[in-house]
Amino acid sequence: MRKIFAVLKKDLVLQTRNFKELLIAIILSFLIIGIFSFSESSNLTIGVDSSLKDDIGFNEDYDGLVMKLLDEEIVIKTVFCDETTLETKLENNNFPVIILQDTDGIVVKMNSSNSEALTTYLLLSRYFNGTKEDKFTVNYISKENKTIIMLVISFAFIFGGASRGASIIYEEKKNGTLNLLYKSGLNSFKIVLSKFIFTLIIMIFILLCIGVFGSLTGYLNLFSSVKNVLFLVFILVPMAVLGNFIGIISKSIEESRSYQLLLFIPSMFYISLVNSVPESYQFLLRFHPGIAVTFFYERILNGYFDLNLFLIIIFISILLFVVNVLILKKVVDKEN
Amino acid sequence: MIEFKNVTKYYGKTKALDNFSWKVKKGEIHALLGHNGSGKTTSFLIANSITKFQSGEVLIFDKNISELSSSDIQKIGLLTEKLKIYDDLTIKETLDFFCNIFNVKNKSEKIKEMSKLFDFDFFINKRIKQLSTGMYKKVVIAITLINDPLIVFLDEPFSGLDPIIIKQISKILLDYNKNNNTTFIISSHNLHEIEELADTITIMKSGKPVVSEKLESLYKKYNIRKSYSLSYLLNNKETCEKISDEEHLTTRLIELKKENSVILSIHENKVTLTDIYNKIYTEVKPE
Repeated sequence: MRKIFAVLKKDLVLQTRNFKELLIAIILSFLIIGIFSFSESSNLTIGVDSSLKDDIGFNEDYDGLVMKLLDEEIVIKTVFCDETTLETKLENNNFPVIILQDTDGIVVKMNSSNSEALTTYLLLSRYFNGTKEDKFTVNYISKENKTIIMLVISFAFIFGGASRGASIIYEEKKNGTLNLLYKSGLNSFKIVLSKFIFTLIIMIFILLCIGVFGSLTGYLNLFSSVKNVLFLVFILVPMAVLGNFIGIISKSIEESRSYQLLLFIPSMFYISLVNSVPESYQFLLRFHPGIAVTFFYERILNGYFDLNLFLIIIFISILLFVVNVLILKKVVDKEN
Repeated sequence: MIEFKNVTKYYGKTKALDNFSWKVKKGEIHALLGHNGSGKTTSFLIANSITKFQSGEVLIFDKNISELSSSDIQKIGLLTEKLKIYDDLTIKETLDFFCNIFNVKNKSEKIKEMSKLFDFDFFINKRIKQLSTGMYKKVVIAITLINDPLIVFLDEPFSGLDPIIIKQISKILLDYNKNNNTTFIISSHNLHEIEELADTITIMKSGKPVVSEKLESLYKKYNIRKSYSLSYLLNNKETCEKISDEEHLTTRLIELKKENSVILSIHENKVTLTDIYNKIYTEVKPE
């Protein structure tokens, strides 16, 4: 373990002294989140329209509540299941669906995150409990904006964390220090493990930066629940392994960049296609690592948690880790 | 201490070592010489368990190389010509890192010892990329010695260095060898320095040893005739001539006497390792 931590410590020291690349990724992420948070009204004030007071309450037709978006001057109806069901769903950590319907009957489906559902729930609770506040602020992020944020995060992860992990392995391969590491008794498994932990640390750092910035702007709340945080950490695992995989198979930094683009560009296509392609094709598309990552983030931001998905991620990560160890071993043997 | 028995190594279809047999004794400074591609680096890599070979046997510490434990392998130091260490670490961090991965006990003592030996004190907190070529070379040699290896392979330790740094490094290696009885195997094209440093010379050609002997016996065995530098004054003009052997020197002196020239000096040129190397390389075929 001492050797693994020695390699890790060395990589982190090197990282702090080669901060430019990581900084660009973080600044770019901040910039894009910032632009979106200021250019769009992310905080919509939902209030109860007193003129429609009579309609407020459970309705046999809608099981819903009529509300008004004060900022938009649009009267909308919130159609929801009854309070007890909503509460049960929230407690069970299921995925609550809030459907907003405007007065013309146009349904705006909000695959709401838990925080939004909770906000709505609180609003309703207060109303039902008789406090009858007529104003409440919720954070609202449209699905389109969320996917852009997801892309930005993927970008930061791939180009920040993964590329550093990749280039360090590549550099060590090229300059002969990898042989020295082997001679010191470090084997392929230990080397891949140290690089994996390193990449994970860098990614958590980027995620923290984005999370803090997102919270400060009120635009993106990545850490809204312990479950979300845990899930994000689990998502980092395959990304870290993937980053190391890029490094091990690349013969140059340029080549590792190309691989990273291969992960990133299809994600953008996915975003543009995802709403128009049939579900079965979407499923196939998700096999691409870059797309898979985007897909996972989408799920995370929507507060979705699935044990099967989690197990699949862990299984793929372990598999990829083993592949990394085998490839590294083969690369070193081949070069000698 | 090190023994290669009929080792053959191919890189694809290229034969790097051809039935190569070679012995290095404990505590000696052994120079492995030869043109580029003669198999020196390959021998180093094999002895360090970094590359495999197709046939033959290699014994290190009287054990078959395949039976060496991880701690045995760590007792063999290697400096490859292409080794490039981490540019953004300081000398201290670099030494600390290699102390950690080689499980060096009394780490801070060892770093101090290396700093003193290689005169790092003023540079200890400088980053590797800020160092001169000479200082850089000293750092990589220090890394090679950091875990007190019993055998050290140095591949081209003097390349690209100025004569003063070469002298300094040579002195460090000689002292280290004397104090620790460490076996050094050095490959270099700097024959002048090797002549000062090495006890035993092995010359390789096309993956085979041409000769492997003590330096003194090489001088005796390859009795190369001495050359002379003759300086004289003729018709008020000073001339310097190089004479290839004693016979020609006598003839020339008689001629100059007849021409009434004044002999200013006769300098006997010492036979160098370079002379022996050139002779062996051009005249002797591998066994």
